[in-house]
Amino acid sequence: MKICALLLAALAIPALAADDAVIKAKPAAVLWQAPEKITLQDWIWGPGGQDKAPKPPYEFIEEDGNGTNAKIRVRDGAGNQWTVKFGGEIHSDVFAARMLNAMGYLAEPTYFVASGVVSGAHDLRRAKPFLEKDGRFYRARFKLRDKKSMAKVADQDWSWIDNPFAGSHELSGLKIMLMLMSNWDAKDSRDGKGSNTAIYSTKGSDSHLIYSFDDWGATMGKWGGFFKRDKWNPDGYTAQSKNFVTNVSGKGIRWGYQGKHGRDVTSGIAAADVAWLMTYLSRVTDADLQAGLRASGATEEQIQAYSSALRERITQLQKVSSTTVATAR
Amino acid sequence: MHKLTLTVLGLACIPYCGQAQTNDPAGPDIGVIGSVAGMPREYTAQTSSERIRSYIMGTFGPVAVGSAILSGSISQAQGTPKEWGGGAEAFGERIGNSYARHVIRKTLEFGGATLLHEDNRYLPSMESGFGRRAFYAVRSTFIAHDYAGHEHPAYSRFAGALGGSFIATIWAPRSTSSSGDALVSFGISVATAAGFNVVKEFSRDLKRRKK
Repeated sequence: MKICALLLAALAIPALAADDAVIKAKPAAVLWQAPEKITLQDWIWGPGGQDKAPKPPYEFIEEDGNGTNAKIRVRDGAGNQWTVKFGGEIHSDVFAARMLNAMGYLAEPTYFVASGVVSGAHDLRRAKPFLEKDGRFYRARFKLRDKKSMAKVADQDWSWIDNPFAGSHELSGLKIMLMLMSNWDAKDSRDGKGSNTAIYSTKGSDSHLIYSFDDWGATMGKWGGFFKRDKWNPDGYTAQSKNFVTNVSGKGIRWGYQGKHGRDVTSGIAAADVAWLMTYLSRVTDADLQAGLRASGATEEQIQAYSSALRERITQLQKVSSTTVATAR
Repeated sequence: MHKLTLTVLGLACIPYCGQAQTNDPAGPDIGVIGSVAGMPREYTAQTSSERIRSYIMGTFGPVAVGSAILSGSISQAQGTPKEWGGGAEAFGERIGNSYARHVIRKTLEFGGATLLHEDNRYLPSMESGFGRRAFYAVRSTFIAHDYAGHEHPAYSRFAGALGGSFIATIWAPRSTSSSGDALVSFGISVATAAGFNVVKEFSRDLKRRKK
């Protein structure tokens, strides 16, 4: 028994010392984590899985006045809090969460809810037209408000040109994901309160800072300037796909993408970065894409259009990646 | 000509009730939460920037300018108003008159739509058959949507058309400046909008065939 007690004590000492070191050390900055084995179920249910999906009944908490779309906060039957968004970004948000999750970037549990009833809604402004008198709604995006495991770091932000990941595969990979989904709303810390970049701090002993791009509503349509861009437009997305990668030469890769901070987004991406992202992107099947789109509330016509266009863009990335391999040989 | 106005106003009385069909194939076990039964047709509201962009393109874009030239050409061929006579200068005046009326109409419509939270875009029908689709297209001239997609009368569109027609009488010569002339102009403008809707509805088929 004494030997056992000594052994336990000996094991406990380094563990305590390690804990102390974690507390004192500056939290590590993380942009990406190698994705675990992604299955079709992950494309269907997204980063939260089926277990975390919202469970009715939904109880109104308050209206959220942030952003360009109407939003409310609700509590579901399991006691979880959700930000419920209505309007033109709901499908894009849900699909982007599945794409990011599959590639190893931060994505929060996000679901497409076809219909439901919110009880106790009152004093609504922007959200008023989206809720019937009995609280019934159709087509909404539910995003989990999970403040238990991580929290947004106040007064800290990052930009495409000022972050700890300059020149890394991970940052370039995120830029490619942005372009792959035609997200033209690439605002960052330079845009003040409108910034779509954010830093989150995880809670617990293994604390680290997660750098994230948060807003994927302005995706899956046409990239471009004020008069051209839109959201969730399969025709526009498809039409621009042939110009996804416009040229690859010794000077670098040229992209068709145009958007906020477009130069910063398109610059600094090497063919080796594309090859790195393709390690994960090449695993994505058409069935995966279609499952993700279907879970986002896309119609069958939209699913066919988007999966073909996405495949076309991934093929272009594959060609860039092949060039790198050939050059290396 | 007054018959035209009455016809247009009569069309406005067509009941605007009726639910569009759903085109969602969603169902259980595909990651979609909630029932998909009885879902109304999907409607996507425009953001503020999209509304401004629509206004600018619809008011100053090539279609707007082209329509003004066409309208000016018809007036020139008909010789109305007669006080403006013929020749290049008169042609320019008629195009300018038509375009000014259009700018006023669209600006009033945009202001009204912003205040009343109306969306005056044409949404393609979910119907099949020429007659049903044509009826839907004409009916859509009198319908606007709120930001959640609910239908109601297109107040801002009619205010814009009526305002544009009456304001244009300020600079119109005597032969075309009466209230009756303004109402005729209003009727033409509504009928033109209905015609454009029919073209929009069926031009989708041509686009599909091209694909």
